[in-house]
Amino acid sequence: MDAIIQVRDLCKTYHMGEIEVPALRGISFDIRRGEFVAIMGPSGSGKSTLMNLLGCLDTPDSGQYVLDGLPVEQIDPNLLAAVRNRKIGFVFQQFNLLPRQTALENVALPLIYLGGVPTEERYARAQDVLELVGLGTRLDHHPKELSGGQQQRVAIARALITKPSLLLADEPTGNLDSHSSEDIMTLFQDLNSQGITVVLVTHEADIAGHAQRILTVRDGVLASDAASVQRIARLSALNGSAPLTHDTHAANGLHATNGVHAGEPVRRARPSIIQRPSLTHKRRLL
Amino acid sequence: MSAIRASHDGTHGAETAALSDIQTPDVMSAPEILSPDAIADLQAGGISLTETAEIALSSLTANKLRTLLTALGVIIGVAAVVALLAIGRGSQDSITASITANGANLLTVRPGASNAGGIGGGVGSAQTLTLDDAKALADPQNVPDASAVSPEFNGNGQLVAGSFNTNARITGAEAVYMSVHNLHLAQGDFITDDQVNSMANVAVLGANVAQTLFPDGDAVGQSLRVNGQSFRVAGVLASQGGGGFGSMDDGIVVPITSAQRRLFGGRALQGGAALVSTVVVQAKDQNSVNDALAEITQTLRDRHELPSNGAADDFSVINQQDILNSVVQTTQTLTLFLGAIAAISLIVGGIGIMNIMLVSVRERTREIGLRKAIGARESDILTQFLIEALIISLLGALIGLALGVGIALIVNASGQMKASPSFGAAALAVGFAVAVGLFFGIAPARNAARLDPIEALRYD
Repeated sequence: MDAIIQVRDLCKTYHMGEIEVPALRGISFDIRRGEFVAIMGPSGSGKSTLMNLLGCLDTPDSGQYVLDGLPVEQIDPNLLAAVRNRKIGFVFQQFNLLPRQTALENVALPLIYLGGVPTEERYARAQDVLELVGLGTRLDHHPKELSGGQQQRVAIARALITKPSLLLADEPTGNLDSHSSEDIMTLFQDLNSQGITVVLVTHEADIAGHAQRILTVRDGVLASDAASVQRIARLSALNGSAPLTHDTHAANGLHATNGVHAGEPVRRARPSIIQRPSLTHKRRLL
Repeated sequence: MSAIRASHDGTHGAETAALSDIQTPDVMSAPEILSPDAIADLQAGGISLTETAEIALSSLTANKLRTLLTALGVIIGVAAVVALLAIGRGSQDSITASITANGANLLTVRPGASNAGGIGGGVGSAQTLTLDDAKALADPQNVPDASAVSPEFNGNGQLVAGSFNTNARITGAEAVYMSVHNLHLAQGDFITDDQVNSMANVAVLGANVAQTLFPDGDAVGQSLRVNGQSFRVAGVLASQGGGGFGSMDDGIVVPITSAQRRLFGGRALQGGAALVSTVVVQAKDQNSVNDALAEITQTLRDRHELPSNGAADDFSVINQQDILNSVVQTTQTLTLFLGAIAAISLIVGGIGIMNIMLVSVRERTREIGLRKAIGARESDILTQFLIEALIISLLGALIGLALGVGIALIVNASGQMKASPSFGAAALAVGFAVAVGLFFGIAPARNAARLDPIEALRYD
């Protein structure tokens, strides 16, 4: 299965007393395994609601959400905790590290809730992931002893430790200076190049520009679905080829049915670094 | 399949290329779904109870002072319950001991109708027991099951010796009094039958009385004035200790004849007959107590010429066991009462746990939100906080138990009261404390478990 996220006609309305506030009014898209997608939209557009639904923190009123083959809307809310644990790695704007625990303990935390992982293995895996994000020398530091960028790296390591299908980042650079932001985005790109699917929610255009594809939400519906110009420029520079055409339908693994735009089918060029990676560990969870 | 269509998202400034048409659901394929087994697999795994307990423990040790303060209510409650129940049990033990020290096979005969609980004539209101009655009871023909009969006359009097004086209970008795009441002498001799017959002015002093009147110690042979009359000290009783029920430490014993005729002549003599306050009959053994009781009753009814049917006894016979039972019952009630008051403080301690835990849950909202986001189930959070409540109350209970036993030992060491901590009371207090802690932990734990992770992660 190529699509890691399949969203169909997702609707969510909030009830504030008597008033009904529609946050999502039927949104549909696919995200393929290994994609790097930014979700943008002004505040009140429904992008936070969309992120909460994608993160299985909330359930839709109607519509379908299939995450890595699991029909989320059919799953008992109590079991959604397990879905979050195994399928999703969260990265928050506020980092949300436990202040009294070391980087290593923070990163190992999700494995406790996964269950069945012995303590030594938990810490060994946490160390591996911390090394992956470039914090191999800060294992025993507490969050307050780390810079904002380093704290976010710890949070990313924590998100990665259960080898989730999806890395879901909510304004991950919102609390960082521009230099650290750039570092973190580079890290996301590196991770993505290793085959990890990244979904990023942001309102900053240049942050979203690091993604391959940008979904723009407005008034609870999808306003646009497009490849990022920055990204295309970067990829084409890498490839040494002309700017690419990004066909969303093709990227989604679907065949467009509308015939308005006739023309040659465009091969979606992929640089070698984002070739389909080995995903054996994710398969194991299925 | 779509053509290039450059576009610029003016509102957000996001540079996008190739804005494609937004797909509508009807043109998108139906999502591919895994087999239902994949959902069932989600049930497996999860955090173990040990690991939840470790998380609870580490959050408690992270803030030791707060944990201790939270447990303080339970500590005080359990300490109070354990100490008060120990003191209650201790005083019951010492009262019981002082009653049974006299021998459990004693029967006390008193003048006046026995009308337990009712107003009746009032025990002792009719002076119908005489020294001759006592003599009749001492006759083996009448009461074969009696091994000793001790007629006694009780009063109070002023004792003066040199510059010292005191008020004391004065017991007129015969020589047999000492063995019947299981007394021991510290110095000198007890009163003799000869002294009783000769109405001698001799006295045997209780330990405290001797100490008060003759602080130098050498009391035997000295003289003292009892209600103005001169008496010679024949002996001093060994101290019985404690504030025990019926202790002789604060009394003196004189020959019953001297008490009746010399000290309390006004009320002790009635138409030539010498009255007695009580006659204590010692049954041969524990098993003959009931037979002795029947024989005493029959003898006295005959002597008092009461018709065999209709008329009530004009005396009462009290079994030592009955006294014991009623005393035990009284002290038990008192102990329960004390324990109940202490238990209230335990409940207050439980409310303390709830209070601090509610604050703690609020304080740790973000942490709880995070734990839920990364995979903690509602039940995991609930368990974590219930274990925290359990640990706090168990910790408090154990510290309180140690404290309560410590108080009991100090009370014992002080010599003023006796306290005997019991395993049962300790188990009860600890069990109750833990139950209270768990009960009051439920509300905060539920609050924590039900936090919406989205709200919780946004909480400042």
